[in-house]
Amino acid sequence: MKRFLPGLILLCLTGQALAGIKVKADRTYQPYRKIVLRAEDVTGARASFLWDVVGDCDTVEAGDTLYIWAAPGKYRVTLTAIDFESKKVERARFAFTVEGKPPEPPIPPGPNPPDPPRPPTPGPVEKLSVLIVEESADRARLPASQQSILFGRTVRTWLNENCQDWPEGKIRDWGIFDRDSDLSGYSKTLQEMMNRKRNGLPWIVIHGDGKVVHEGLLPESVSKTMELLKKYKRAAREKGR
Amino acid sequence: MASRRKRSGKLTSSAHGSSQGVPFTIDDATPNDLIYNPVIDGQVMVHGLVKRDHAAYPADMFRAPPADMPLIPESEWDARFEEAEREESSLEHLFNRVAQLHGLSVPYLHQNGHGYCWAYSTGNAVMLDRAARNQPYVRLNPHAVAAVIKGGRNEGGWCGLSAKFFREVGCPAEQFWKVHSRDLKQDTPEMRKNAGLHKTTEDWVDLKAPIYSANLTRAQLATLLLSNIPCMTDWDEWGHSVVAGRWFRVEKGVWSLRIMNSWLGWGDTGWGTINRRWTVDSALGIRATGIAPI
Repeated sequence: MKRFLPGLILLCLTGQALAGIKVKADRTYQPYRKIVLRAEDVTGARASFLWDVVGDCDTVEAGDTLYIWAAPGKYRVTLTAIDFESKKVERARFAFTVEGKPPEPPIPPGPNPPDPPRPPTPGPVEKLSVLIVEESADRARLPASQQSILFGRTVRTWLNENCQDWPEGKIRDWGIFDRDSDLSGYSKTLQEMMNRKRNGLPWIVIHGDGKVVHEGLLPESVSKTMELLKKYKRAAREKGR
Repeated sequence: MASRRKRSGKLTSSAHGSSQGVPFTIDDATPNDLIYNPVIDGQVMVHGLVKRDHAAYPADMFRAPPADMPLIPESEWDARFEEAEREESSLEHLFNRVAQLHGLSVPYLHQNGHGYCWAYSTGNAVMLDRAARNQPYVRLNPHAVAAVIKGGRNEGGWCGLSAKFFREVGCPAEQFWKVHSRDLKQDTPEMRKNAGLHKTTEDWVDLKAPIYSANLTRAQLATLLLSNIPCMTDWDEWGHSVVAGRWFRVEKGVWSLRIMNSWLGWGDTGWGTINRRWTVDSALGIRATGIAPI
């Protein structure tokens, strides 16, 4: 752990270790809530890592690294190391504690977190809105193919053609926002979409016909994103207005 | 872009647009009188950069220490640049699309005859970030920022000075402060309220802390720009402050900054490549701007 700010956050890693693997905790320049766990394979033999965290937090998994946005509390982590050559799978369980009071809570789940959406019924919808939630501090970690989803012509043109107007026709109702952005000046739809529980970042939420029809991790490519979006293209009657 | 012919120093309004397929470039062959105070459509362009005083404005004035920034390795630069060209996903591409959508011939902010480049570099960075997030197109007025900071005087500064103001106060839209005006009577509660809608709310990344090497600064600039995070850059040798929007491959193995200038009629709708042996003397990366729909 480095660049520790006394009184703000305290990380204590305890637990069992895997042979040849060191787990390190770090706090990055989002000082209050963001923690990075990194598994370092000293032997170089293992091909893959899987992480599982128990606790009220947001996580993003990227191979040997796990990014966590956590409120103060205790968390349990399971790290699975897979060696594809020997087919050997090892697991280690450990815990960490975040102490100190962050300036604001993590993602507000609300007193009654909404249920996951009903199994979606893909098809044309009215009043389409799309929200993509990201952490811009980590944008450099996104593969180029996902940056193309966020900023390339294909997806943005489609969103401009298919999302509903808001506000007063100035823009279409879609946006790309940081995970802790204040959307109080935006449409209630976007606010509700922002306030939903997420399991990782970047996260895409699609809203149509008055409800969330899809939410999940951003697809890995422009073509897969378009495949997803086209299921919910604007209904014909709305298109005609 | 190695196959592209270089277009250098054509500083007229006819230099607008990339339709010729040749990016506008300033390089070592560009005559000085076309760089420093060019006359474009009858108007003399001015700068306004005053070198940063690190004693007065230390590296830690912005909260985010850059050492923790994840860096995109140089081995990935080519692939990312080519992907951005193919998918038209750079800030230049998407800002030009916004201009097209709104029918704007000059989508960027220009400073007219005052030495306020140091406020316009920040203003244009915010404009780019808003466009990237699909926030509505609002023309901000950095003249208000500079005039208030300088007590109405036409004085130079550096980009961090305006960045601090953007973080603490914001910047009003043009409807709340006359374009190119330095009249402080416009500093009203209504103006301040509107400015607050356009505050920068996320941390800034100070890329020119003295303790970091020039190479790290270069790698950080490359990383931010390849991630579509605009950076205000101060160029002491140019005496100018501009927003950088792209990490641009001039030719195989040669990388430069593609900047959006605050001079009316300059470059490719304001964009140009700085392929000159200059160094960036101060740079700030902006990660996310105030989230206001209007």
